Amino acid sequence: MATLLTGSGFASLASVCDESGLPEATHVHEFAVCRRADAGYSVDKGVCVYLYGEDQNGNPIYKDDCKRTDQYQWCNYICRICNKMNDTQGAHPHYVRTVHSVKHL
Amino acid sequence: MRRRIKLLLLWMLATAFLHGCGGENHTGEGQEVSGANGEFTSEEPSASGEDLFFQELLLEEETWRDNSLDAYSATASFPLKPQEVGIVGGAREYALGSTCGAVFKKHLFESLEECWDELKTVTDQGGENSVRLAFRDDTHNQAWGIGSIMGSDHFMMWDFVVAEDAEKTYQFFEVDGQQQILRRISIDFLADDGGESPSHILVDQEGNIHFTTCYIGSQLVDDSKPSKTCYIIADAEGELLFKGDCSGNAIRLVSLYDGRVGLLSQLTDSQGRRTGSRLEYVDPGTGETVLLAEFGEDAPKALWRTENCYYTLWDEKTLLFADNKGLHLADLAGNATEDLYLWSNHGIGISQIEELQIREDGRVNLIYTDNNGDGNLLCLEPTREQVEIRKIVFAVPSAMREVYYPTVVAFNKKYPAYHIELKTDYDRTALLTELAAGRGPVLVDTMLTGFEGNQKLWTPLEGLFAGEAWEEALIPKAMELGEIDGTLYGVVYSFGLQTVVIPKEEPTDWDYKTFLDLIEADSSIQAIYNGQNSPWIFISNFLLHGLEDNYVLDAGSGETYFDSEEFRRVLRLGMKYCTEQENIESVEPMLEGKVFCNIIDVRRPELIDLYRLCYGEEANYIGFPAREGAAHYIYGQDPLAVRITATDEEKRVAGTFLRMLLSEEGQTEGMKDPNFWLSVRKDVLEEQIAQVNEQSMPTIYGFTQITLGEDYDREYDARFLYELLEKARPRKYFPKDLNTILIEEVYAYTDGTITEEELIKRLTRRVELYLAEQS
Repeated sequence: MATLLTGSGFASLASVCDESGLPEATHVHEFAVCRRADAGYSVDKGVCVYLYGEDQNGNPIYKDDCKRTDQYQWCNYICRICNKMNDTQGAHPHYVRTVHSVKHL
Repeated sequence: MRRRIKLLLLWMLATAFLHGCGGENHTGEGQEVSGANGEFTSEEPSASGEDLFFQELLLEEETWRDNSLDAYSATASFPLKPQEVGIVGGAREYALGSTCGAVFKKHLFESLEECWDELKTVTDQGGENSVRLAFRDDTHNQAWGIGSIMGSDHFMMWDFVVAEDAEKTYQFFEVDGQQQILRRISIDFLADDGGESPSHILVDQEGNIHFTTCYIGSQLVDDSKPSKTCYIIADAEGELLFKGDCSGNAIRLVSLYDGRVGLLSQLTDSQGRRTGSRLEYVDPGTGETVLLAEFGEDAPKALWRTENCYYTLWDEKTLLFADNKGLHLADLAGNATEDLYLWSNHGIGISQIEELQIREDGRVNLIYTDNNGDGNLLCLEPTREQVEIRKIVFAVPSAMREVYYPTVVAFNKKYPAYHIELKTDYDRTALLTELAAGRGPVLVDTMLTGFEGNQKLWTPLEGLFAGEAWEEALIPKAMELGEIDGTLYGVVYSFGLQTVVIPKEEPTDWDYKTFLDLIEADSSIQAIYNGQNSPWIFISNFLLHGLEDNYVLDAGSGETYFDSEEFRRVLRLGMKYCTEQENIESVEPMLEGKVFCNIIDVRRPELIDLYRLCYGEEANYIGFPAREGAAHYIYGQDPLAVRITATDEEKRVAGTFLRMLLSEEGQTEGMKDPNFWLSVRKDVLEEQIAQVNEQSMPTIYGFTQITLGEDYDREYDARFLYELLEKARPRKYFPKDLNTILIEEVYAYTDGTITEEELIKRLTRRVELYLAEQS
């Protein structure tokens, strides 16, 4: 089952949002760009045991020197056109990558 | 596998469409960016000339030579990659010789007889040697690991034998460059249950064997916590000199500047959080431990916090450390003092330092793994002479930098005589002024400037993606988003799709009138759509789709429809439903009948799962109302454009980069960034769909972020995406000047400054005058 997080906001469309001096209330922001915050976090996924080889008798040999870490980055929505940062929907995380300290895949 | 096949079939269906259906030509409408555009300094080149220009092979690959941008330059840079055969598993390990690098790989297959070990060496002159290890005597037929022997081109490997009583016996053996075994060293002090085995090996210049240990065994262990790790020193005969328990910390051996070996530990607390690091030296003769450097949480992150942090002694008072920017020197307190070599200046994307040795003459040899996990040998020495380098600037918004960065790195590595510099600190007006004056960046992400309205600033790119290979690879409808009046002026690298969903099965189609009729007939609604609300935005979103398709004017005849009951009804509905100051939320209000419809964007395949979960599988994605019936829209990321006044050489560099950006590799790297939407390449778009999984986190403004867990359905995603893509047409807008007229007048009306009749009169007069001037 999907994990629903709380939040609110809206979908948006581009039409006008620039520096033309038109009233702010007429601007249509397109919050389509994620600006990376200078912050993120890692989730330690523990030790990654992997098949390292087979001994002379054909028995599998496993090794546990790989540490798996999922990395996430915090982002904020900004307007694609005017760079205004959205102030109604807070920062959200983006999964960046899973790092295996040893390449064995 | 079955899912994969179904996806393939769906793709084949989509392919039939993608080959058979090009997009519509653009009309040149769009948002012209305001700015202090000055005089242009060059004439627009003829299209035919540009056609020929970009059909050429743009840049030749020259003999690789590093540039001189940093205090150190590379004399050698070679991949160190074993064969890719066998099944998953079988770790690879690296070792560094005086003049070469080595990678050891266990290639595993289903049966023992097929398994084999590879040792590949690459010299600092580029010579490669890959051998299938065959240490086949009575007892040993394979190796299990490899380590460096400082100051030599030999390597120290190890293996073990399992006796009938399951007892293991270990031995190290030294091999030369031809993989001949020179000597064997038995180790009899490791736990005989086999749980404790050598891991990282480094032999100092005195011949002492330093190694760390970790668990290997024939049973899968509890993977929730790491097993015991130790640091051991044995002499050249295999006698134990020192053994220290390092469990709980991440440890690695580092070679010090003088041929000694140091132990680098990243310290963690009981919750596994990193708290610091320290570099120690253990005297093999006495077992005495000497602290060389130590850092806590107040030190620069590169010295304790980052994954796989690496530092060592450069001399008695100086540290050499690596981070994601490059190699640097620092004092023993961790204060950086000098940059030696910055990865981005040399087209290097680094994951971690595997081995590094500082030589007496100040040279540095190292093996690093890149972002793909592949090894590379890099030999550095102080920069002795300046190398001519031709640099071009690529102007990008800071938020988009990471989309391009991998391809910029790849370009700079492939073409070291050229250098693309990513710059982000731009003011829109200043940039437009600079471009208009014929100066400034060669490549521009037009998110910074606007695209269509600044056509005169860009060079036509016709021919850049000509040829069967490109035509097969790219989605024509997406590529055409970079055209102005049918000519390619910009390169769109990813795109999005936009449609409208309603909570009812009927209708399945609508034009402007039907759409308005249905809103008017729905007494339960409190708002028309989700998002930012105002009468003007309502009109703009739903009733203006460019000069050729809108509800307020006929551009061909110059006639307007403001003075009509239809337009008065639009104003009435806008004022009734679209004056909420708050943004209207997506999903629930519509499902509760309070909102007439929702606008949705598909910018990543996983968003389709989000919408499916929100609206249900049978939701009615009817599309926007339009003149001839409902319409779905395709829109691009802001195209990348080339400054028209760039020199031919600069254009060649830019063109080559753009081709790399649209290559499979460039798109695959780009799609890792959240600001990369749907790939313009068919194969990468397919891969994006295939990568939707339990961990996918569909994220888009206006919707709650979720993690899909088991609620993903790639077949549904593929079917939905390709069907929507097939039906979508380019999103079009009114020209900026016309838009401004409408905004000014409608805003004056909604603000109460003018009456409805005054609005209609003023709109009719100003818009008809505008149309007359354009005709």
